[in-house]
Amino acid sequence: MNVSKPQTIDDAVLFLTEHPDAKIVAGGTDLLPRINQKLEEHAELCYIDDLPEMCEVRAEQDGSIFVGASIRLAEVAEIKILTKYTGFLQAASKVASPQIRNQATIGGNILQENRCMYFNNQVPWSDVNHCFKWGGKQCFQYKNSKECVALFQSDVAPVLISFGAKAVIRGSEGIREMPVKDLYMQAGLKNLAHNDILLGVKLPPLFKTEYSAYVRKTIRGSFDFPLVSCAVRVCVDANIIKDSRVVFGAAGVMPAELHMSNEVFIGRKIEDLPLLADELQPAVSKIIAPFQDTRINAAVRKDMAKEIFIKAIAQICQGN
Amino acid sequence: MDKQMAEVKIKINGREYRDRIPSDMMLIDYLRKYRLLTGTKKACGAGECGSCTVLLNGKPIYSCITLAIQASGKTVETIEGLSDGDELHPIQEAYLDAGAVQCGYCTPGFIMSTKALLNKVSHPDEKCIKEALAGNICRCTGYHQIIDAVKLASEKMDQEADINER
Amino acid sequence: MDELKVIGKPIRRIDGKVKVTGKAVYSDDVILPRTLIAKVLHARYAHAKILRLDTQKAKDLPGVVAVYTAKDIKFNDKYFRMGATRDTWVLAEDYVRYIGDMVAFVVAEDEEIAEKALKLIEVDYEQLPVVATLTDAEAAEHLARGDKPGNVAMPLVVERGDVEKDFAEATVFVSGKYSFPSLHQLHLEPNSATAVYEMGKLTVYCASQVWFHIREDISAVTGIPEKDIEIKPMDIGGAFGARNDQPLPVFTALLATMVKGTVKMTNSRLEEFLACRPSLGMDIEITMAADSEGNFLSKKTKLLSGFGAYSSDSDAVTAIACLRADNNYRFRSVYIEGTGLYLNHAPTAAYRGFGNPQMHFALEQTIDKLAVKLKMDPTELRMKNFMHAHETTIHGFKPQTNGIAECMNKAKELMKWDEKKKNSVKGKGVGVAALIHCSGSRAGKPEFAGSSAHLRLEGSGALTVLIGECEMGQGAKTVFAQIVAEELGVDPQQVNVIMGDTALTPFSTGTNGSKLTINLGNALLHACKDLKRKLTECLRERIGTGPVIVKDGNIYGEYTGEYVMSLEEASARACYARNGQAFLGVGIFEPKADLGDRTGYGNLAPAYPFGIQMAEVTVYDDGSYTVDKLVSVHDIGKVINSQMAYGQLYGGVMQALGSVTMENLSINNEGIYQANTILEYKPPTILEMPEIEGALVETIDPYGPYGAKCIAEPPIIAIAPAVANAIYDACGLRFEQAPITPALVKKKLMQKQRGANAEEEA
Repeated sequence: MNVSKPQTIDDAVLFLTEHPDAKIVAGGTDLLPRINQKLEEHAELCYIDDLPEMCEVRAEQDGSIFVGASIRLAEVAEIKILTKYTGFLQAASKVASPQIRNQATIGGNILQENRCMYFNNQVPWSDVNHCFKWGGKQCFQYKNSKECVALFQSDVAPVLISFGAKAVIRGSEGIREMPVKDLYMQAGLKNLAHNDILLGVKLPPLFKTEYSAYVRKTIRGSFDFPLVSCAVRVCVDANIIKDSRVVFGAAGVMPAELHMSNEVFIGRKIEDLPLLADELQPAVSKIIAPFQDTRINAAVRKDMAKEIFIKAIAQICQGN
Repeated sequence: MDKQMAEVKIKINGREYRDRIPSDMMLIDYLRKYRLLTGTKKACGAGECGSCTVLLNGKPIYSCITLAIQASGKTVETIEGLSDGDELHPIQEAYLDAGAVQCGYCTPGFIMSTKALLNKVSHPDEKCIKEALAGNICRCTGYHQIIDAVKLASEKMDQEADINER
Repeated sequence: MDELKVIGKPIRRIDGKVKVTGKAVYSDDVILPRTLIAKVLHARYAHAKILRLDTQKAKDLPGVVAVYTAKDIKFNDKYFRMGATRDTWVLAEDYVRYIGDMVAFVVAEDEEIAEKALKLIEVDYEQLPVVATLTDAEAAEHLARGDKPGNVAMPLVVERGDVEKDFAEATVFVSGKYSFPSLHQLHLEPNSATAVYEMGKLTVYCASQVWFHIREDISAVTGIPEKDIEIKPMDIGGAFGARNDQPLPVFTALLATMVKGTVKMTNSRLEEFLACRPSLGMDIEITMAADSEGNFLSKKTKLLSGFGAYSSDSDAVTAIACLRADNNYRFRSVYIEGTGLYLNHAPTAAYRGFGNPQMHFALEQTIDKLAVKLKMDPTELRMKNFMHAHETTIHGFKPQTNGIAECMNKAKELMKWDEKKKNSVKGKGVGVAALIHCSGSRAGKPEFAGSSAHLRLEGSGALTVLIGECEMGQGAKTVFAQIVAEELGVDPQQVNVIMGDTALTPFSTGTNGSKLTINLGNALLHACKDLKRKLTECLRERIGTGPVIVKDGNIYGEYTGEYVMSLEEASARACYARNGQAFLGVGIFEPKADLGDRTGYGNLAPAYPFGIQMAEVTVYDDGSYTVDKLVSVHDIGKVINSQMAYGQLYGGVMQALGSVTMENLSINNEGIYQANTILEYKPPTILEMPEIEGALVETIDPYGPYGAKCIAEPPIIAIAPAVANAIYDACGLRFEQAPITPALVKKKLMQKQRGANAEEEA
């Protein structure tokens, strides 16, 4: 395996264009474990870090905040202008472990590979359970699935989506933006060209009064990926809910948004939130993909999703 | 095809090293095989246990999932850099006094995480200690005496600071 | 007895400084010139026939030194020290029987070449049905091993007393069907070894709990006599039973012999999970019979244990699981049917507790059910039925000390048991479990019962303990230094302790069964006495000091009590007077313990530790639960080093907590381990640590050094049932399967709620 380090963003795009097999690595905490565990092999890595465009945090003219993709998860808590993006801070502070948070980048977290016990706990020398992700011909989660259904377990992505954040992407054609939510496609694919580089994310300006929360469920207090997680954001004016977004992580191949939340919440009083949330429980259950892992099964994952949704709502109300 | 090599310039425990190494070498392998700093331990190779924890620019990281080139131009502190000759660092003394060491394999990683914590927070409470050490696994001690050790280290470092002030 | 000066004190561990400075040398830290790297090709399937095996392409790869398959290995069928069935091979011959089974070895210039070569080995397999669960193995629709007539590796049937009669007399019956998974010891240091072959001799640098057995294994597979093999003990990054049977150092030595050079092999974490020796998963059915007063009368037990594809220590573990826990109570009769079964996963063996945690999980929950049925406090029910010191237990144990009643009282005090039982809070519960174990068990060990220790005093004043067992983190070196320090009055930090260098130390049978403090400690005490006798004799006869004694690191007149000279001066003068000869104190301990008869009956150990463990939990409506507090009180005899004793206690308790709440290898129907990473296996982190209160009850056992018994294994034994009992106390739900995961609790709670709703509607 060769690792190259382009010195500028232009060089990086050029390098990726010329090396169609090259894989981008930044913090490395997502990719390098799989390489060490021989779950993946790559001939070329393109190491991107310290590029000034990706290390910045700045307030834009329109009041939105650009956070560079190379910002480490541990750094999020230290950035003053992000203080009120509560859910974002909560999510970044809960990822894996302190060491990982010092290494892992925002960009890497939201572009992380999907996970599944049939892939991440595969025995590399065996061809039993060779699933789609292994280049096999079937899925062991859903026997009839035509494609990989591995879980997307990013903590940060659901929160960014709840804020309506945009991804800022540098490709061969220049810089473009798209909603973070649109980065995710079926089978765990990302909506990016091979030579696209995620420069950062843009968080829209906060509503006058806005509450956000992120709650996750794990087996252990540290290291673990979320079994399921929930990001909630509620905008309020004179005690009346004006806008809301509820997004679940580890809910399926991509973050799952509870679109009904606005139908139920908008125009209602913030005090009524817990009651209104109860109404939404069946809908929550529906959007969580039935997915099995070594510790919990599909039914429990759905139940846990409802439970953390209620907890997130409770946090919002406490913040009120 | 020959392996692509890379130049690295890394300051390790206060001394600067320049080496030409395979570009895909992990920091832990560079430390152990090139610099013969075998105090940093490999146990999982995947960032799941903390045995390989070193400080990169003062922050604890897993050297088993860090490329050596990621550390280039930066400073690395390993367990070997803590003691001064026969003189142990107060954290090391505290780990011994509190009985926080059994098999010792996780110990270098725990001590490095402790150092990063105490550099930042001089008097951490129990919750803060637990959070700072949540990225290190110990299978022998059950953590109890490790927490004692961190508290004791904090006191010892205070005393040392007092002496230095006088 | 004079007041003890060093024994019982929290002395700093003597091997601590190298460990906190990163200077300890573990096996993978060994760097020798001209070292070749070896790798193993493992089986692609958990059960398959090898149709074709072609290594030519791998051999042709530049940098590859050798590629070996079964047919290249002269003594391929000689790797079978462990287990009664003697049925394992170095490399698979025609069949592979678990996913870590070994098919070929590659020796190469470096790791990368070795890895490449592995991929160039061509193997064609015919897949065979996999036997993955105990239920499948018992049903025997398929065989885990085609070379055996069935899946039963070991049948054990034991009846003591008249079970049918006692069942007929009994008025209360309780039963349960329990399941405890196969667990990984998860010592953090992966196995690694470096072997140097030179002119017919082998030197092997490795970690082990059984240095001399490793040497025996190496001799068997290389054909090199044991006298020409030296095992160099490295610092050991944990063991917990896993290093009783280790293929890796043996095969590294074999490869060094075959290529006539220096070979190093280090396991990846995945290989640690798949190709080592995890613990035995067990399914246990118990029916207990008692009278209406709560006196235990009888018990019937049916136990299935998973041996894996070959037998290792699995037979001994199964036997202990079947019998040991019974000895805590006054049963009139018991009937046990234990069956060890072949499965297509890694051979299973010792894990701290040696089968005892599995059975305690079942028995201590069954006893709790009885307490519920009789509406008795579970602590009282147990107290009523405990055995006492000097009584012979149902399977022949003869404990001279038994502090279980004191343990119970102390545990109740620490848990505030009575108070919590009286004022129960919704969702909160407390649970208790009792435990018994052996100090220095010799169950299943056909070798001699005893232990030997040497203590050398040189003219320089250097004092060196030579013991053929291992320091794996438990603190044995420090215990031994303390004993020498106590006996001779020197500073324990000044005592050298060499453990396990086969060229230097007396033969030993292995560091297991919680035996070092009691067996080797006793032997070392004798060695100290022997050394003192030899030294004072020499001083009297050759130096002319008159009758003297060794005390406080000095020599004093035996009758005058006057200072004569320092120990240092005495050793120099005495050694020179003997033409430079050092003094060698030799100590032997032969415990009053026996091997047990064919049914496992016998006084297996010199002494027996007892303990009480308690848990407090909160179960929430959403199915999650937290373990809030654990109490662990142990009768360990005299405490030698209080700090290290508590270190063992906390460590064992946390391992047990992991086993009951999270840990599981999750072996699927294809024989694949789905928790084959540390992330997925889930050992507890510091954030899982509840409040733990420990206490030590010091009975003074006549057979222990200073009265000491052991602490290594007991803390892991009864936490799991205590947690399960506490969960029952909190929510009325009984979990007979470990680990008690959030999914399980959630499922049962929902069933219960649905049941309650249905009742309401009706």
